[in-house]
Amino acid sequence: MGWVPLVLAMGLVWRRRWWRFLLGGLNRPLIFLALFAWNFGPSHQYLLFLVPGLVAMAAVSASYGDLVNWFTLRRTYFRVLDEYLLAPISTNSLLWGHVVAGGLKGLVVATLVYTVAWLAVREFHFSLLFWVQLAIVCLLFASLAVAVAMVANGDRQVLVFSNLVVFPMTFFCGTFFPVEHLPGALATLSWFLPLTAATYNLRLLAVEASCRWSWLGQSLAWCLAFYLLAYLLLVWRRQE
Amino acid sequence: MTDLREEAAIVIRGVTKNYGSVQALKGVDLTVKRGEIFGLLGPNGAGKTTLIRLLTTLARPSGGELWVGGYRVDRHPVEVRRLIGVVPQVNNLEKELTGRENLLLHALLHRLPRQERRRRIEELLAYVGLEEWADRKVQVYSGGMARRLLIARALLHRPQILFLDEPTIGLDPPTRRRIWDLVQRLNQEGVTVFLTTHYIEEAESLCHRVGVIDGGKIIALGSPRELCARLGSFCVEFFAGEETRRFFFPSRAEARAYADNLPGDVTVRRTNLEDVFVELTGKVMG
Repeated sequence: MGWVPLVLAMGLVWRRRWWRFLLGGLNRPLIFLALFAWNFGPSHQYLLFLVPGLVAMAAVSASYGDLVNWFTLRRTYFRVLDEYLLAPISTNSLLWGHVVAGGLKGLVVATLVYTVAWLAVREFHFSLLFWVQLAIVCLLFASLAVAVAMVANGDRQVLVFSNLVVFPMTFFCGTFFPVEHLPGALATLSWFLPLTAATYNLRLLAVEASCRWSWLGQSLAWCLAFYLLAYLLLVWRRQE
Repeated sequence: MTDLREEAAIVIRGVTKNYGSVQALKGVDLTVKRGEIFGLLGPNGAGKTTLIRLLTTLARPSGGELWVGGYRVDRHPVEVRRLIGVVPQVNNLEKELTGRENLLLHALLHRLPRQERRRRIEELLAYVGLEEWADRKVQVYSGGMARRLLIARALLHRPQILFLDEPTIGLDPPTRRRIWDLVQRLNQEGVTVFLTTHYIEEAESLCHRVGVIDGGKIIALGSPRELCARLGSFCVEFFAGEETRRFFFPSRAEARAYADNLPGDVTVRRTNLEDVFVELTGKVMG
């Protein structure tokens, strides 16, 4: 349980600017929700499709975006990361603490988006497996955040990776439209991205309260792979 | 050898550290006794910070062994972290938090029990004279205040060995002296202190023993007095046309006798660590 103090410590820092991360996390999904609902009119069916995608997008941007900046700036610029590296905890606890803290932020923001959307469309289900799937997405992208921060040499490199890889991914993983609408091989390729199966499963759980275990397993496998990658990169950084 | 590793505060044997093709440390051997204030003196880029990062588990050596508090650093990093406090060269406090919150953050990371946490934070804020500033954000602190808070933070979990990396760099003379007093008080309370500095005066006033490091190697080791005595305790200094020249003598009488035969302005004074450093490396400190 060496990771618990780390989560508390990060909570202490984030407590000072909770409103910034809440506004930052809610901003994009809520604007998309308003814009698409407006553009397509009160299309009930499309909102049922769109909202789980926006919840996935919110989970990604809140758990990945804040943590990757937190880690990169603290490692390369403020050198605050040394204070965390000097805590008497193992590398695994250090990583798990950061991933849990980053993932919790993503979960809070995604829950808020889901709740706001539920106020408009009261047909969504709040099943336990929905939260499990959502938590996996948050932990997956929090792990990716740590992995990216370990190799980035500064916030500019992080920005490039986020803008070229992570942000586009949130559009092409079945968030706004079914991946089957993508041209040719792109439709197949998108199923090899870490968010697609999770977005589809979130939608199934939110709308029909049923779970496709292969999708859940697929996102869990992505989560474990990114966690392992982040762990290896953290060990590599520590040995540098 | 095994006994020494367990008894000494720090044992370093044949340590090397490479960054790509650059060899930052080239086989360092060093022992620091418990209860000692040890100073590592050297110019910028000599390898001082690298050695501190290796000793404090923040980096791994390319070769050799390091022991801290009886634990081999690469095999027992968590145990080592429990024993040590680190004051880094740069201010790495959380700027958006208050001084008290920064200490609380450290206490959480080091898992201090709740009651002890509160007591210890108040105790240390008083110790470093920051009670009145405790609830203000660190971003409004002066350099000296931030440095004192860094020391308080490093002491929070009662470390046996304190590492200070250039503790007074960039500070004004009164603040520097205040930090020196703090370090001496700590040492009197039983804390072993390992500090790096490139200030001669700091090494001379604070340290029981000094190691001079240059180009990744320890080139001299001993008490400030011993190091000066090896060179000659008295120095005759005079300007000879294009450069200042110095000659060293074991006694004041011999130095005076030599000086009496020289024309122009000649100074006879005690040898200092800067003389030792310049003679050993051919470089000027500061």
